[in-house]
Amino acid sequence: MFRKAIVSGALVASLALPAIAEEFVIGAVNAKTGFMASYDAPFMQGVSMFVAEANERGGLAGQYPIRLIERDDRSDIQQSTISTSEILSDEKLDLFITSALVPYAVSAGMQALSQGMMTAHGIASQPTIPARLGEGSFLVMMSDAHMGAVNAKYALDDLSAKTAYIISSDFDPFTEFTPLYFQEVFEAGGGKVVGHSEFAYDQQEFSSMVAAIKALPEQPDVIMGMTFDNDFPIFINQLRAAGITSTYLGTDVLDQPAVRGLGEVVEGVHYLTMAAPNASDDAASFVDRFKVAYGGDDSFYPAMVGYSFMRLVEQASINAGSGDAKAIRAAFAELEDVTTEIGSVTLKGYGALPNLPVHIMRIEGGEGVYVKSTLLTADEIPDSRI
Amino acid sequence: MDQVIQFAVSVLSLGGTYALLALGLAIVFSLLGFLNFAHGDLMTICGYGLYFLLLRGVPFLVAVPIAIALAGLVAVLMERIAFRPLRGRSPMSLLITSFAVSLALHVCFQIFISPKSKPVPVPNFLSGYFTFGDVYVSKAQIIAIVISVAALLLLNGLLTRTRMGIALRASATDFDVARIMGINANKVIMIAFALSGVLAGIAAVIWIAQRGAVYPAMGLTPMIKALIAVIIGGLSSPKGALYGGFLLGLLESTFLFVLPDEFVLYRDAAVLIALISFLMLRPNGIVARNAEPMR
Repeated sequence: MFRKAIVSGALVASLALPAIAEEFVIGAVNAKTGFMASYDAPFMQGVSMFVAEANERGGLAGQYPIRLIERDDRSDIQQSTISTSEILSDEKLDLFITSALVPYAVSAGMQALSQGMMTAHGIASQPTIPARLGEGSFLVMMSDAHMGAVNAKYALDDLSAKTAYIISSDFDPFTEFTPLYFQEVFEAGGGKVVGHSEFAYDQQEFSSMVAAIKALPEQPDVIMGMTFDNDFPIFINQLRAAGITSTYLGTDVLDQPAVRGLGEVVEGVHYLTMAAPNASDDAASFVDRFKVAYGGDDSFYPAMVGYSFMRLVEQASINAGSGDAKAIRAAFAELEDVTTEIGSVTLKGYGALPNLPVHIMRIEGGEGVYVKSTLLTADEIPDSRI
Repeated sequence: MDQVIQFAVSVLSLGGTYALLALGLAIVFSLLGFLNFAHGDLMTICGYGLYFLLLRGVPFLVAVPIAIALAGLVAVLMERIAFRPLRGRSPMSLLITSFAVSLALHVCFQIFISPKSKPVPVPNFLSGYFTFGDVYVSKAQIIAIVISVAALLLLNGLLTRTRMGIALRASATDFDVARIMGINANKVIMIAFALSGVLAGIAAVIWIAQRGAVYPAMGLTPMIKALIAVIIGGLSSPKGALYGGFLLGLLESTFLFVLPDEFVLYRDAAVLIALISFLMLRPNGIVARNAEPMR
């Protein structure tokens, strides 16, 4: 009798207690220190900001409290592999985020995908990554093919450019192939690439390249280049010093206050971004909230991508009606026209490379001025080079 | 003709910056017998000093000497806190300590400042270009040459015409004898570190004038270049460091001009192969002298 009373009491008590909500666990192994930190860390700030906001309203889709577990790979591939193994054996994850650098993303992504969850790769834009990893690996950025094609379309349609000079580097698939995507679309649209130079990362000196451009019979209408923010200031100074006034078209690596602050030499330089505060109310609101969360920091570009990525994950969870990792992974690939801070994103029909608007910016008076947004159609995006 | 002028400008501006950095490394090596791997981080400290000063509205020309002095001060603190307790230990212990100091500083920059580049607005007189007839030359490169030459001449004057400089050179030649002659070891070492910090600071200003930004790893590449310059120059000889810096600048610029575009990626490899060949012929560098580390 006494035992029965205890059992029924416990049963009643357990029914009276609120059910423990199913957690959604995100693992992230990427750089907080080392050379990749400037790309990976701000992306994770955006993810963290979403997690904090979502947990206040009950978690992912309001139902699954999110737990974010982060490990610093110190921009070291061995550390990345070790930390990934540890985090995967210690925790049951529902989503995994790698560094944006190809070897790190492939190595860590391979381990995570073997456990069935979806894997994203920070602000990586190289189609090589999902191509090597296969199903379950997604980019959340505009791809290199997008960047090359958007710059080419803009040069042809808006700048009425007829000739272009491209600058690439074998340093990385991003720096190697993006100018080739540009060339493909630019020449298909009637333009002509009149020259091609290659550079080494951290080259520090561009006189010979500038001399090659200067030796052309006529200045090219546009120069599409891949120099990062460490090399770009030297290149643009030497280019303008040589009296070459061609419009420079860069990629998202130039979306940095340090580049915009270079003075007269960068006036009129164009670059691409996914985070244009003036492109939508959602984007503007994000920037305001980000400033409150992280101070007056201006590194909201990768952060906005991280935040938007989490909105996509949330939408996938809503569509799947579940917090299950495999269901979310399947639903993520079917997302269509999801409104986020970086624009309307579609994955359905585009494989692992989302289609989304690419924003074109122009530097004027030390500021990045929003020019326009371009959403390519499927047939306007060049096939990936891997 | 314009290509020749551009080439000469390129050699002198690159070589001058490398020489300044290499000199700082060589001065410390000649006394303590170890290469301070945190030397490049002194450049970064100067860069951040400049960034914060400009952010607070300090005029550029006032901010520059303060930031350079900051690099000198941090170099002295580095010696006082990290290296002095290990004095007398093997140069290898000091070398490893310098790695640790560099790593710690690097992580501090990333965590407490930002992993991203911070803009250092360069005034108009440093950006843009000069024209010489049909030849355009970047102002930043010309200013780099002027600053490096001026700094090197000043350093030469300091080392050859002042008591402090003579004490420094005497200690670098034979530290034990110099101490017997009454030279204060702590003071000489402190001056050597301050000088190396100031040289790194000047190199940082030249570096930033051409890039307009400071970031945590800013000092890494120039540090590696300076290391190469010091090794080919002759490890413990400031004069060798100077030659090594300019030789490295000459080789880098030559390969950039000579190599076809598709091979430019191999420029560093080509430079290193040339230098290895040089060291096989002259293993102690341009100015051969054995280091006598202080005990």
